Amino acid sequence: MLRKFLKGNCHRFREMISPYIDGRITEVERQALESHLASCHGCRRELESLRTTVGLLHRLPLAEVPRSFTVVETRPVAVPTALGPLRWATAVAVLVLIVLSAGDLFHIYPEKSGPPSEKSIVAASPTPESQEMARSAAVPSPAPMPTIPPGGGDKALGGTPAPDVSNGQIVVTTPTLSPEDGTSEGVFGVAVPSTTAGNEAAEGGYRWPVHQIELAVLGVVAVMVAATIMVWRRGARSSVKEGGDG
Amino acid sequence: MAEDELVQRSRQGDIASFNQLVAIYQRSVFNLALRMLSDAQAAEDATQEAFLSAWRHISGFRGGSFKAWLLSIVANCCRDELRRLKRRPAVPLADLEANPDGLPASTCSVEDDLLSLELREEIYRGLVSLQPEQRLVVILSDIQGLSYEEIAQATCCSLGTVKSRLSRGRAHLRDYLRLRGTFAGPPSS
Repeated sequence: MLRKFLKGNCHRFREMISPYIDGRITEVERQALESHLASCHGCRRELESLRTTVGLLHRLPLAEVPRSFTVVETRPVAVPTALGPLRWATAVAVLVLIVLSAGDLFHIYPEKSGPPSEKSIVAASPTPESQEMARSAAVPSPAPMPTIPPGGGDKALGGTPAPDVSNGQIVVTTPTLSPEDGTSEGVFGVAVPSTTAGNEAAEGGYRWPVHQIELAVLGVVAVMVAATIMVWRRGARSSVKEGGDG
Repeated sequence: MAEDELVQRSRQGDIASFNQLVAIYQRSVFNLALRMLSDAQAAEDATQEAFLSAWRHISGFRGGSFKAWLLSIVANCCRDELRRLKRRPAVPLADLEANPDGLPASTCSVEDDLLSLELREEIYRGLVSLQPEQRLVVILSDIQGLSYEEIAQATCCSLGTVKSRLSRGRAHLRDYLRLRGTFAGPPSS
């Protein structure tokens, strides 16, 4: 038991012997170690053998250099790296993405013109604003007159009264809104879509494929950011490896 | 001219100043490479590569000991070379036996007489038997005479790690020499 305790104690002091030889322990540690050395023959031998080893190493001669190692380059060579151009290109791509997104957000791109398709009429959902817009935007269409069966206009057009042409004069009726299907009935009972310009834009109604371009630029930005990080990390590793921590 | 001024001029692209630093430190750098690699030609190549690398990256030197910074570069070159040698057959043992310094006899200085050739051979063999990181710290401390702080800078590790590696490296070398009969008496318990 006592031997085990002393052995553990010696181990603790032997860790200090090497820095003790170099004078790199604290005053308290030095006093404790010297006190232990005075009573421990094994640790004294350890100290002496290590001192001898260090002394031998100090006496080793330095070899002469076989030749001069002077450098003959005229100026430090800047190591070419792709990081600089890549960083600029990434910044430009991010800027383009921001401009595109801002334009999309504020609907500054030209929208598609011409009559909306039948599909968009069916898909449009009515909102109070759209209903109001539809009322005010309903204008007579120069489109061909719908064929109205004699006396069956109400049935054929969902209960819309047929235009009165009995006196040789067309009577314009006020467009009414059908709450069931979200379409308003315009002049002569022709269905007019209740969509707005905003809804068109939101559904990709731009003249240009803005959303596809945005997605493509986003992809390019992601790839360029990843490439920049990779090149930067490789450069940092190489710099540490070659230049140390100086 | 003072070392700081030479470093400053070198950073500004003055190769003459840098070559003055080369002249001051080439012996230390070459000897570290020689003791790490135990091969004169490999040490020569590593030394040249280290100085070229130092010249290319001198703008990255952020103060502290220039010698430690330089030795950290050659230590990295030696690590690379040791990794490469690991994949290749090692230096023939006969070469080391014939020439423990790894150098032609004409390049050894008169100081060599201080230790017998046989003893030097044993010490160099003992150094080769150490792990590379322990060997590096022992060489920097006991052959090159760097302080603990400079060794920490050159090896990119903490003072505690330097103390620990040095302590174990010295003990391992002592045990190696004792086994070869260089030390009298039995191993201490």
